[in-house]
Amino acid sequence: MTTIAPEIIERAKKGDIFAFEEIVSTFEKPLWNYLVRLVGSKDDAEDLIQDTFVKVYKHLKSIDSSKNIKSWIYTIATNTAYDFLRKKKRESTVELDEEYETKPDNASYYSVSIEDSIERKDVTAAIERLDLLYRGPIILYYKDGFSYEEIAEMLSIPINTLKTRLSRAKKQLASLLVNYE
Amino acid sequence: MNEHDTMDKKIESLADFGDIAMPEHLHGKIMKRVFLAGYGKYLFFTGSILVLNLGVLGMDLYRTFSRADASLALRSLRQGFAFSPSYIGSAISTLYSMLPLQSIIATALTVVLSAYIAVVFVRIYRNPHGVKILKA
Repeated sequence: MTTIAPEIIERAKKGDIFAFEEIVSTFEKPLWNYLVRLVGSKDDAEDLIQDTFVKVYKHLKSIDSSKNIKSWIYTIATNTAYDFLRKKKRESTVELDEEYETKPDNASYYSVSIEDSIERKDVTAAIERLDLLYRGPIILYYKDGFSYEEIAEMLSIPINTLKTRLSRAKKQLASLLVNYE
Repeated sequence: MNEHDTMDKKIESLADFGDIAMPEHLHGKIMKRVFLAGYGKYLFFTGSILVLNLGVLGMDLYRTFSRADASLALRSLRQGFAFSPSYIGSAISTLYSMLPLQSIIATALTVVLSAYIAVVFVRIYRNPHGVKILKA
């Protein structure tokens, strides 16, 4: 799992921008992957990752260095992405639907072998069609490897609620994948 | 293997999915935003003071050089222009007699500081590697 030394966090908290750049370098790639999968658009993910790190920089002083900074950064990214998706959905439901219809191109995001690409494309497209409520937990748990406790804390929900959401997400994913087959 | 297990396997295969390549310019973009969020207001404040200072100094210089005796001295300097040590010496002493030393120092410092801030901004804005370049 991606980690960062507490002294780098301490230096960044004191305003050292070079230390902060080390934090960015450590987490930008996993966060980029997470955000592209969560919002289903590279352009939106570009804006969101910038917003996320600006928020992290502004609120870094409030974090306890002994806490898991990765979870904290993912919490900010998740909230930023959810706010954006809710706003986008409110502004234009039609536009969102049209965008989903173009999603098969998303297979080009992934560096996968040819034999796996069709199945992965299906799973990826199905995840992007999941309800917003379920999409985050599925990616955080199965792709990014966070524990139930970490995800529950990130999403500010009880662990049992998270387990229910994961179970429902799997059911919804199953029905979406059946539709693809 | 039943349908439920197959579904679990498919979902669990998410962990093995390849990474989505991050655009090369993105790191630089993130750091530019962070840099501006952290230092933008200070740079703007400093820049504003320097611009104001330059304006005041510019007006002061204009007033000095538009005086009749100063115009005359400048015209004679222009007419007798030559690349010689004696000309340069006389030009410096003429300018020094017209401008107080503190004005010359203040103008030089303001110009140097403004140029430094402009260079920092341009370096941050143009480089694709975040702020690491500032260490060089």
